[in-house]
Amino acid sequence: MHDFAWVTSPDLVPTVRKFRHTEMEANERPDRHHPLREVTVILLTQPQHDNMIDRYFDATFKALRYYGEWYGEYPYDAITVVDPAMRSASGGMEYPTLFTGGTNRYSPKEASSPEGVTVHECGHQWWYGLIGNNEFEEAWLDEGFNTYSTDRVMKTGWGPFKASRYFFGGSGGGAYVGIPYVFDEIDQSSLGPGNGELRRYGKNDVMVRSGWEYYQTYGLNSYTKPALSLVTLERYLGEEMMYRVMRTYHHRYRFKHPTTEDFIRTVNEVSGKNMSWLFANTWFSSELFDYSIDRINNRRIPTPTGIFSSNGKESEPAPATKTYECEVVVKREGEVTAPVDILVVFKDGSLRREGWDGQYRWKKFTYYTDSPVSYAIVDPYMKLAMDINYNNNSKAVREPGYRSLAARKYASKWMFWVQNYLEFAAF
Amino acid sequence: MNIMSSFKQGVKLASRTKRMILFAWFANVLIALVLAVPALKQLDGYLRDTVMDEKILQQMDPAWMDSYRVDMEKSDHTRALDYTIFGYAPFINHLEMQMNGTFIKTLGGFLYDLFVRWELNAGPTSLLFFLSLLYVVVNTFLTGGFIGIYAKDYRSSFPEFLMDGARYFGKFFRLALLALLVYFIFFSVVLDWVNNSIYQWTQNDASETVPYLYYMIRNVVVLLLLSLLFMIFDYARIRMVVDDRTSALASTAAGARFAVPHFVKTYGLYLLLTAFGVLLIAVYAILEKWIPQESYWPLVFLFILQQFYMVARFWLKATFYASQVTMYRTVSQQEHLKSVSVVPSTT
Repeated sequence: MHDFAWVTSPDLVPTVRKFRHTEMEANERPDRHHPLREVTVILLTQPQHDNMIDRYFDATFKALRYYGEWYGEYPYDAITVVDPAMRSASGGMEYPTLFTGGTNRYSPKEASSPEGVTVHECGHQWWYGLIGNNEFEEAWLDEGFNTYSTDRVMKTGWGPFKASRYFFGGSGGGAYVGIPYVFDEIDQSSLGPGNGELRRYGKNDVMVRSGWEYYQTYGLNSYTKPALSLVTLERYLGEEMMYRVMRTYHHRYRFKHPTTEDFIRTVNEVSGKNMSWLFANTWFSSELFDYSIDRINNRRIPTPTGIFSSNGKESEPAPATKTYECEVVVKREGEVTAPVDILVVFKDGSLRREGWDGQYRWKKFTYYTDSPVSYAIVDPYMKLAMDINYNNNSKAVREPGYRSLAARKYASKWMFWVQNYLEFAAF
Repeated sequence: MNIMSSFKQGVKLASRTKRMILFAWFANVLIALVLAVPALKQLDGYLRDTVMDEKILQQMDPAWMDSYRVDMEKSDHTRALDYTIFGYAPFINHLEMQMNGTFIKTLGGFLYDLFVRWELNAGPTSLLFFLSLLYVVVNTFLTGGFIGIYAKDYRSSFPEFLMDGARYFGKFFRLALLALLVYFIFFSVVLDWVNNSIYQWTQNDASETVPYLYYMIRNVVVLLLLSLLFMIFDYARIRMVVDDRTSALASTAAGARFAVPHFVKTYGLYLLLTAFGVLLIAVYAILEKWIPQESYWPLVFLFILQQFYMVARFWLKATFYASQVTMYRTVSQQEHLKSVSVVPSTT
């Protein structure tokens, strides 16, 4: 136990429930099922958050279950969840066997409050609590690992949450208090606008440095970038191998104080691969990933015409073997490298999957086919979660005069927004 | 003249001015196109050659949106483009901006820097801001046209509408400047004081329900006061036309002298018309949700629906003017007749 905390308030309303997960559930794999010890969950809520009690418990139970199954069992008999008072500046904090959440009474069920903060803060029982890394000098080992884990739990435990915003309110307790509006059309990503943040600020700092040494990028380098790098690692290793890596790392260093090198060593050992290149390009570099499809060129191979002769005798021209010569050029726009997949789809529906080590600045793939290329995508399965710009990852060959219907859809919505804004602004 | 009869007469008058209403709508479309056409070209160039085109047609991808906004940070055409373009969020967003005085405060600050500090502060401004400024001028002209023709006893032609717009433009522009000052004081002094006070009063509260309640009360009060101010300035314009006044200050006082003593009638009429506005928004929101937005013809239908909504909105605006002119003329005539009828006979 390397930290202590206590809470007291005459207003907090206690509710106690038991977390149990011994029997295997229908959606569980037998080889991944681990009976977990019973945990008494003590929830202390603000009086006005009675409508959030079930949501707090649901989120805590899911965190206890999934973190327990993936990494290791929560080893204590009890855990306390504190719903902090407004403006107490104590929300979203973690201590061994106690953490604080934070929500507001008007949070819609489609939004991830209090689920997101509850899972995240409960998750700190593992990353920082049981794995006692140095939070100041290697903040990514707890915050980054926990952000990655939280994202996994959110995706596994719930359907997609929706983006939401509050209107007609004002500042209240460090957050905006108002009437919530849910954007049904937009799923909320728990990793948030990570790639955009990387693009804007990623080059400011190398991730591996002490928390007080960053220039404007503490959040990015402690939370987002390490989380995205672990997502990338998972996609390169595969989910099964990543499960083994993380579980091994957790069990090996449970109740100890591991470092960055300990984790990298565990990855290489368990996976049997040398993944140091990934950490060199992400954790120890401030450079960024960006691969693009630069060009697609479909050239019709001309049919042979004219007079042909063979051995001095007039002959028929040799039949053309293929109709098109197609070129796909993939480019490395960023400064760090990673092996990437390329998917090339032809107009007749056939496809080719290519691989490239991603080292040089560009790579050209040439095909002789009967059907031209329809589109190509670099990193089609989004293994490289840290690619800062997915919009240039694909290119499609369009008919002349093609117009984007999506552009029309959003431009007309924008126009309608402007029309109404003008009317509201006029006085 | 009661509320319903003013309203009915207003509807009748407005229905005679379809061309003018369409003209107002057209002006709105033209100005909006200044932002929309480049945005379309930008989006088209951004999407057409990628497979994201098909993907985000089906559903907006927040990662794509984030990347797009980073790429377009310096673009004046789509800088303000965000999730509030979806569903009925535009109305909520704009109403909030109106209640916060976002445009008024930006305009006030810009003019203050320009004319008092002799600085051109382009920081908070954008193409949207300047187009809004242009629209205020256009709206001033159109309002003069509408009130001018509704104040007449005969049916007016379209050229007369334009002439009235030009005739009253100077007066209404001065009135708009006065209104800007009043609104600026309201938002920058009164409302900011209220918001800061709510923060101060609730800073020791442990529950968000307390500031929430204060903010909701604030919203009701702001809506009430703002609508009252809007109505007073509406009657100020009407009195400028009907009574042939020239002073913006005197007309505003006259507008208040009419609107406030007859509060039940004037505000009742205002609320009735506003209720129709809310109904229009509700109808649009319901229809918009029903339309599938992943293929060509439904999107065309959606665009037409949006423009039908805008035309209906301008129709309602015209009905506002027509009903209020009717209310003023009839009530003031009735009062005049009463005052004449009480003069004792000398024979």
